[in-house]
Amino acid sequence: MDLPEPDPARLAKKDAAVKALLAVLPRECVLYSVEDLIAYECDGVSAYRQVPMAVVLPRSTDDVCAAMKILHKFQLPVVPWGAGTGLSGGALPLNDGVTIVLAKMRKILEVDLDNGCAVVQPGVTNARITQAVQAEGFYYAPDPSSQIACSIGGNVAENSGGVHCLKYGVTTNNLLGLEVVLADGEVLRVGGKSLDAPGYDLMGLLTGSEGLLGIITEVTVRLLRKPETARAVLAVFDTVEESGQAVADVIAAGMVPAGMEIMDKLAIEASEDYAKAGYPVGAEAILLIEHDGPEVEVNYLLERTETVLRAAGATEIRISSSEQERLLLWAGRKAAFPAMGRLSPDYYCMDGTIPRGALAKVLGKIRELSGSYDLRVANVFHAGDGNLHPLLLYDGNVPGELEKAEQMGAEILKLCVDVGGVLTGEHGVGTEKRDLMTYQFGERDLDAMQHVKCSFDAESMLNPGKMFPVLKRCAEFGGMHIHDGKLPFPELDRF
Amino acid sequence: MSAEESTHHSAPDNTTSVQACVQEAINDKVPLEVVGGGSKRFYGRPVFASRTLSLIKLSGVIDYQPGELLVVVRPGTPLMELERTLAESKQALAFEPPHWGPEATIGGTMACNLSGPRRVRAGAARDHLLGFEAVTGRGHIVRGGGRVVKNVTGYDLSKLMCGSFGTLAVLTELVIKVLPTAETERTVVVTGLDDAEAVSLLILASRSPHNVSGLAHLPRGVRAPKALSGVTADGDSLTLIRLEGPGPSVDHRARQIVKLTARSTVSVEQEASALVWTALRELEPLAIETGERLWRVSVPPNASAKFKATLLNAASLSSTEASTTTPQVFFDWGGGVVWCVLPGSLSASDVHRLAHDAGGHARLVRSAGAHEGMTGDEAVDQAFSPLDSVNRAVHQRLKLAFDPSGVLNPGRMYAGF
Repeated sequence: MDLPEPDPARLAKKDAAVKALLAVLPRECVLYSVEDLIAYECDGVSAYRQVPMAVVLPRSTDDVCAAMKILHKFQLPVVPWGAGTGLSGGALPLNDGVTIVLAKMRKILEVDLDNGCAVVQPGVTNARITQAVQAEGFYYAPDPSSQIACSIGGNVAENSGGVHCLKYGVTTNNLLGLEVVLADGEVLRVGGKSLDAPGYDLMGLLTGSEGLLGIITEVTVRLLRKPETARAVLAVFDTVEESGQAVADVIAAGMVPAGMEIMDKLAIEASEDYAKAGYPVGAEAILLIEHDGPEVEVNYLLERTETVLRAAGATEIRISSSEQERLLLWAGRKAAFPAMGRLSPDYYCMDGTIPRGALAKVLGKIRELSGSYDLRVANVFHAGDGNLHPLLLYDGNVPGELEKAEQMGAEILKLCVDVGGVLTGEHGVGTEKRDLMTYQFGERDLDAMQHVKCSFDAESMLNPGKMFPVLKRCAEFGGMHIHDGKLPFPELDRF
Repeated sequence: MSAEESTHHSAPDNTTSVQACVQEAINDKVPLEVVGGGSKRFYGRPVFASRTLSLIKLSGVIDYQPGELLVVVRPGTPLMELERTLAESKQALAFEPPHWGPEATIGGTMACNLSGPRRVRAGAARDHLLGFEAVTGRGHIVRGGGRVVKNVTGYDLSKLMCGSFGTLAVLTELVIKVLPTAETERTVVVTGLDDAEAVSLLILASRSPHNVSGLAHLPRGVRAPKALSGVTADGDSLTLIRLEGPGPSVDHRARQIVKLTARSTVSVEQEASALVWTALRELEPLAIETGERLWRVSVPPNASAKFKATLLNAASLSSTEASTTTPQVFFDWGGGVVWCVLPGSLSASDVHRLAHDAGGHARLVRSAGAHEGMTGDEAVDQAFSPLDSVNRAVHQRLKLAFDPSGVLNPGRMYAGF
């Protein structure tokens, strides 16, 4: 991935911009020396680093507005940053831009259990929301693996998922309201505590917009009552194909479990070596299914699931009969990603979604690619919703190997699109998949997204260079044919 | 209308023809009224257009994959037909959309974001639209979303399409998430509660771990669903809690809910239970007389009982007649939606103000005395809740971007766009 050259005209504004920011914000909220800025040089994608010109750490919505008004006046691009844990490079700074970090805005403003919601600031971590309400028996359902570190604001920006989203939906299905600061510093409020809002679904549009439409400054999340109980079943299969078919059979039997995960041979081996959860090393595939809800229902569903799994050819079935056992069954799955560190100095976690029925075909092709690229791949799959995480193992110290991994990754994502799926299921487009957008979408499809961008941020000041391969001017966009309206920004043309 | 101005109807049966229709409207600078079956014309502001673009012939299931939990369908497909197809595989649209007429289409359902009682558990229509194809007001065919649930590739345009009442683009294909239907259902009924008690109970039930899928309250004086006649005394208020799932689970959970009510209850099951919720979904308990208006108010559940009280107060203050008919009101979504039939004397701005003060928003669904396509009623002009200036500006920019010539359903939601 090529990184752009910073614009000297923007760099030249640094001192004046910092001075203007310091006039409205306390000293500790504005960082501008390299030793302070370096902490924000990359998000979860550590292969690419860029030090921003400055970092602003607002304490409140008013601070965000004040900062945005100044930066808008100076025409400096802005990159929003929640916790910086993203895996698509969405919060990668611009050398000639300012990063706005929402970490200081970490209050839980209100918990309203009667209306089943909580109002929180964007810097609150996903897990902390659940912690705040678990004593009363409630929780916030979307559970990305990074939940102890990732921010709810970031979750909204990426429309994050998690293991249990098959049954409970993703972030966009669990929100009631948002407050957002727009590129010009104006505040937009959508929704609140009522179940819907007047007009167009701007909340739905903002969710998953990756920091390109506005800066999220407040979130009203939906809270659910924690299920009475949960039980898990682990089934072993001789082939990944059979495990995929078993998933289809469970759904055909009218059940929608809380979660369904498949791991392939290499993933099983790695995680067992690391977590020692008792996973069957040597098995081609395991399928982990969880049912949650009232005890009577969970027991009933588990019994039926067992029947389906046996009929589908499971060679071994383990069912949890206590919370401890359930956690143990999950321990291996949860260790899958960190376990890769034992197999390889580096790994590249891909994220694509395919129709469930295409699993066998896609895994077969990935095996082929693994051979031709000579890179090992371990596969972890949110089987319930077709979200695939191939883990490409490489050694960054070997010249060219990172590029090889990226190339292979791109081929896998294109394959996802070819079989009727999409480039990204959870991690977002960011910088990582930016240049593949034209593979999935046609010109007019991208035009429609540009209409949205122009309606919120006509001057493209928010997170330019993310999500879309070519930056377009809104003023010229009008009714002109796309080729005439396109004014490439050379320094951002190829990221 | 004179003979020269007679309405021009188009009913294309493929996307390219829809595109041609829109292109023609742009070239001729003539707006279009975009409809499915026309069953929701009374809902919102009327469109004054001499050309109608009907999607009724753009009909049929393109691809139904029960194992993938999705169906790809044309917008003009009658809702009844789609639901029958899904039922054959023991699946359904979990958000339980109202029909409000036999001509209801799935396209209209999505364009209006219509959801029924099960919204409290399953989410709204917008939570089930995975992807789409549409012709924008620029005459361009665009695709958004996809055929999978986990999809964060680009902006979520499906959310923009759903609930935009055909003002941004004409839907030509829909990818919809479907779910298995429950094996059994049961409705627990408590009678005689006043509004505050009822909403408290509904909130208690929604806070429980018993996975309730229907939470409604019909106050005294509101017509009870026929399926309950003989089961409950006429005229009593009815508080309804639905449970769905496998038999043993529903048995157990219903017992828990009955305990929770701490009152005597009756239950109806299966077919009878289904009929109750269909009646609520279709707003059968409410009768609208000439001069009255049907409003839908969305409020935080725990504000709903008080909201009704302020509404009744305002209605009686506004009344100029000797008649003392109390406005009919019923609560659904655990108090999250309040359906009200209000006298014409209560102004739209009053209703919007009260809804706003309660932390929600109002929408005029139907005005009896206003004919389709003609305003007889100033309230219809303010059918949708006013937007603050920042919201309004974004709305106008989106409208301008997707439909710069203003040919698609102009004024359908708000005057001016």
